[in-house]
Amino acid sequence: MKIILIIFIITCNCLAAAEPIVPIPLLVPYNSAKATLGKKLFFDPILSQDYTITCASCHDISHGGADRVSHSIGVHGTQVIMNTPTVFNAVFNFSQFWNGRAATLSEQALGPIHNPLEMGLPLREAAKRLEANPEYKATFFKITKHPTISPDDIAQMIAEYEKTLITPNGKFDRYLRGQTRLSSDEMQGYALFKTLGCVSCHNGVNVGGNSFQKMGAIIPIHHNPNIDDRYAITKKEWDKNIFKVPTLRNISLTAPYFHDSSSRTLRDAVSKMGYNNLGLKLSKKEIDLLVTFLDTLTGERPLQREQL
Amino acid sequence: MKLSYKLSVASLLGLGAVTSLFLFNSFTKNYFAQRNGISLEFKAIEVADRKLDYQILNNSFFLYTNQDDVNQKIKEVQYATKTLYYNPHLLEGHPETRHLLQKYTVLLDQKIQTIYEFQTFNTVIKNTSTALLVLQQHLIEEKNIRNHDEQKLLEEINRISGSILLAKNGMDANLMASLHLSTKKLSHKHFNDPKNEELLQRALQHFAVIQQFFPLYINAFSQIHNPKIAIALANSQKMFLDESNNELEFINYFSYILVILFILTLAIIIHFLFRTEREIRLDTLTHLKNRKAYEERISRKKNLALILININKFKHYNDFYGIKSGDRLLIETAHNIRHMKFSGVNPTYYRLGADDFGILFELSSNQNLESFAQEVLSTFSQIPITIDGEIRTPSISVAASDSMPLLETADMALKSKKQSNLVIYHNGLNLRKIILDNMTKVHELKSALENNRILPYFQPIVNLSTLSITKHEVLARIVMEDGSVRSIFPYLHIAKESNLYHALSRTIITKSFEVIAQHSGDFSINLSIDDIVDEETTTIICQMLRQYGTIGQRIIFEILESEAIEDYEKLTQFITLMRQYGCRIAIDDFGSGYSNFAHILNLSVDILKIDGSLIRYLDTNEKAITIVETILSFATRASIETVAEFVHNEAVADIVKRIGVHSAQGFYFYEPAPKPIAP
Repeated sequence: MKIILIIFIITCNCLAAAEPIVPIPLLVPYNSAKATLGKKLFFDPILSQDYTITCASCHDISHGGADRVSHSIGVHGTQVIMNTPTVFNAVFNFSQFWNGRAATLSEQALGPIHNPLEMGLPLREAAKRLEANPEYKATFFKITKHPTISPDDIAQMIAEYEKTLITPNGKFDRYLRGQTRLSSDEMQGYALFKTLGCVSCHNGVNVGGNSFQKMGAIIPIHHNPNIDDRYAITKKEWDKNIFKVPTLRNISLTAPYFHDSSSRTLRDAVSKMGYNNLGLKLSKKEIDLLVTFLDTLTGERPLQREQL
Repeated sequence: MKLSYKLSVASLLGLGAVTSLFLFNSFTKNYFAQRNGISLEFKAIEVADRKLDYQILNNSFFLYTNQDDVNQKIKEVQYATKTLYYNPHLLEGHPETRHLLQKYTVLLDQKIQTIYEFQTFNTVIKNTSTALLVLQQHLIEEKNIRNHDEQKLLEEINRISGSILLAKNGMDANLMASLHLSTKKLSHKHFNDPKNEELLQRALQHFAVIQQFFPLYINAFSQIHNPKIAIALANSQKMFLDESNNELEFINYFSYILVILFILTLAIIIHFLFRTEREIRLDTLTHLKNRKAYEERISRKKNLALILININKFKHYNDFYGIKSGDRLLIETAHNIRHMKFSGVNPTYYRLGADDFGILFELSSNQNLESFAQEVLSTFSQIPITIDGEIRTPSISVAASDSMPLLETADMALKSKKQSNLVIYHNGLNLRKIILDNMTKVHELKSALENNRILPYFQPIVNLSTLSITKHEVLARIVMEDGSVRSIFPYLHIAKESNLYHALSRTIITKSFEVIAQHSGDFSINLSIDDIVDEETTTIICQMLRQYGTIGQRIIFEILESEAIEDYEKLTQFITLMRQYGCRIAIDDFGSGYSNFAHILNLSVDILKIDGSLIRYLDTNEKAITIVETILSFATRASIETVAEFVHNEAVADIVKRIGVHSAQGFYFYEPAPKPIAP
C-alpha cells in the first residue's frame, strides 16, 4: 500500500506539470498571393493526369480535410492503400505522410501529384501544363519572378495555402485559453486521456503528429508488408508498424480511422488503441468519456473562417 | 629637388601609411567581428544541443509532456548548425573546421534519429507505467480476493509494479533485470475470478513489454547523451581557434610590415628635411656652399681667414659670350677653386657674390696670410678652363683678410686694388677711412645740392698770339658749409656711385647758362658721355639754348675723350643737334685716353684740348714735346683748333706758344674765378 501511495504522489507531481496540449494559434503567418494561387491549384484538376482529381478530392475540406472513404480513389479509379490523413493543421506536424517521409508541407505536396495511384501526373508534365495556361503562367511569374514554372514553385504555393487550413478555437482550445469551461464528462474524459496514457503520444498543438510510435506497442497487431510504415523507409525490423502519430484534432470528423481505415467509428478506434497500445480493456464508460473529450478537439472549419 | 615635389612625395607616403592603417584597422575589426561571430555561433549550437538534451530528460522524467518541444529543439540545433556550416568566413578559410563540423552534423543526425526512437520507447514505458497503475487499481476495486494465495499474488503484482516504477525513474537497468525472475514465476499463478485473471494477464503483458523496452530505452537515452557528440563539436571549435591563430599570426606580420612602412616613411621625410637643410646652404649653380653657410661657419669658428677670389671683368665676359657661357665659366671656376691644391687648414669653399668666391680656412698666428693668397693666385692659373673647346681661363683678383668682419674687409681690399691682382687687407690700407670719407663726401655733396652751394667757376682761356682772353672754361665748385670753396673733382666719382651725378650736372649747366647769358665771349662746358646719353639732361640743354636765343654760338661742349665711349651713335646725334644751335665741340684731355684720331675726324670736332699730363712735362720731357707736336700736326691738317691745359709756368707757356698751340689755360695765366673776366 505504501508503494501505491508513493506512486500516486509521483503521478500527482507529474500532473502538476504544464498541460501537454497547446491551443492552435489563431493565425499562421502566410503570403496571401502565394496562398491564393495555392488554393486555386488545390482545387484544380489540372494537376491530375486525366483532369479528374484535385487535392481536395481526397482532402475533403468539408470532411475534416480527409476522405470519407477508407481508401481514396485515384486516377483511373485505382484505390489508394493508406487512409488519407487530414490536411487540416498539417502545418503543425513534425513531418508529413503516415511514415513521416516528407519533412515539410512543400515536400509532401508533390507526392500525391506524381503518385501513379493518386493523381498520376509526372511533375515535369504538371509544370508544363501550368506553363501552357496563360493565367497560371502570369500569376506564377508575378510571384516568383522565375522565367519558368518549376515543380518546387507549385509545391510552395500549395504549402502556403495549407498554412491557412488550420482549425483554431475548438472548445478544448478555448478551455485551455480560459475562455470556456468543459462539462463534467469532458473533464473526466480529459483526465482519463492523461491518466490512461493517451497523452504520451497525443500531445502538443496537434494532439499527435509530433513523434513516431508503434501501432500495437503492448499487444502487437498484424504487419501488412504493403503499407507505408517506418519499416518501408528504414527496413529495420523494429520499425514495422511504426507510424507518425496522427493528429486527434477534428478526429470526430475524419472517420474512418487508422492508416488502414480499420476502424469505422471513433469508439472502435479508441477501444483498439486502449487495447493494443495501452494494454487495457477500456470500459464502455471510459470510451464514452474519452470520445466526449475528443469531440472538444473539433475546431472552426477553414471554409467557415474563409480567410482568403 | 623641388620642395613641392618633396612635399607631394611625403604627403603621398603619409597618405599611403594612413590608408594602410585604415585598411588594416578595418580588416582586423572585420576579422575579429567575424571570429567572434563564429565563436558565438559555436556557442549557439552548444546551447541548442544542451537544451535538446534537457528536453529529452524532461520528457523521460515527466509523464505528461509536449513532444512539440523536442521537435522544436531539434529544429533549433539543426538551424544553428546549418547557419555555422554555411558561414561565409568559415567557407572561405576553414576547411578543417568545416570538415569537423560535418562530422558533428553526422553525429547530430544520428542523435536525432535516436531521439525519434527514444520517443517511441519512452512512450511505451510511460504507458506501461500508467497502465500498471490502472490495472492495480482495478484489481483492488474488484475486492473478490478469495484466499491467502491470491492476496500474496496481489501483493507480488504490487511489489513488481512498484519496483518497475522505481527502476524506471531511477534509470536502473539492473533493478529492472532483477524483476525478470519474479515476473516469470508470476506467469504460473492464476486468479480464480476470471476478471482478476484477465487483469493479471494484462499485467504480465505489461511486465514483459517493459522488460523488453527498458534496455532499449536506457541505450537510446545514453546514446543521445553520448559525450562524443559534444566532443565532436568541441573539436570543430578547437580547430577553428587553431586555424584562427594562424590567421592572427598573419595579422601580426602585417602589423610589423605596417610599422616598418611607417618608419620608412618617417626616414624618407627626415631625409628630405636634411636634404632641404643642406640645399639652402648650397649655391644652386656652382654647388659650392653659399652665403648662408658662410655666415653660419664664421659665427661658429674663430681664427678664420678668408681668401676672396673675383673674376676680373666678368661682366664683359658675360656680355661677350652670353649668360649661358658666363654660367659655365662660373661653374668651371668654382670647380677649379674647389679642386685646386690649397695648403690651408680645413678649407671650405663658397660662392659669396655673382663672381666672388671665397675660401675660408683656419689660420694660426704664425702663418702668413699673404703666402696662402699668393698660392691661390698662382695655382688657379695653372689649371686651364676650357669652354666650347677654347681655353678661357679667366684672370682673377685675390684679396685676403683675417680681420673681422672677414667678408667686408676682404671685399674692401678687393675693391681697393690698384695694379696688382693680389691685395691683402691690413689696417694700413685705410680702407675703412676711405669708406668713411666717401660717406662724408656723399653727405657733403647732398647738402650742397640741396642748399644751392654748387657753383660754376670760370677759367679764362688765352689766345697765345694775342694774349687776350678769348673764352672761359666752366668748372664746377662746391662751397662747403664753412664757406670754403673746393674742386668738384673728388666728388665726381662719389656722385656717380650715389646717383647724384645727374642732379649735379644739371645744376652746373643751368647756372652756367645764366652766367653766360649775362656775359660776352665764348664758354666751354664739360659734358661726360653719361650726360649726353641722359635724355633729361640733353633736354634741359636744348631748352637753355632756345631760352637764351643765340647763346649757342658762344657755347663749346667739351667731351671727355678719356672715357670709353660705347654709344657713338648717341654721341653723333648729340653733336649734330648741338651744331644746329651753333654750338662747337671740343675733345677734352686729348692724348691721355684712347686718342682715337679716326673718331675725331668722324665727329668733326672743332677744338682739341691737349691733356694736362702732357703739357705739364713739356719743359722737362722731350718725348712729351714730340707727342704734342704730333697732335698739333694732326689738328692743323684737320683744321682743328687746339688748346693747352695746365700751363703752370712761363717755360711751358713759351713752349706751347712756340710749337703752335692756338690757346692755353692754366694757373700761369688765370685761376678759375666765380665770374668771367671781360675780354
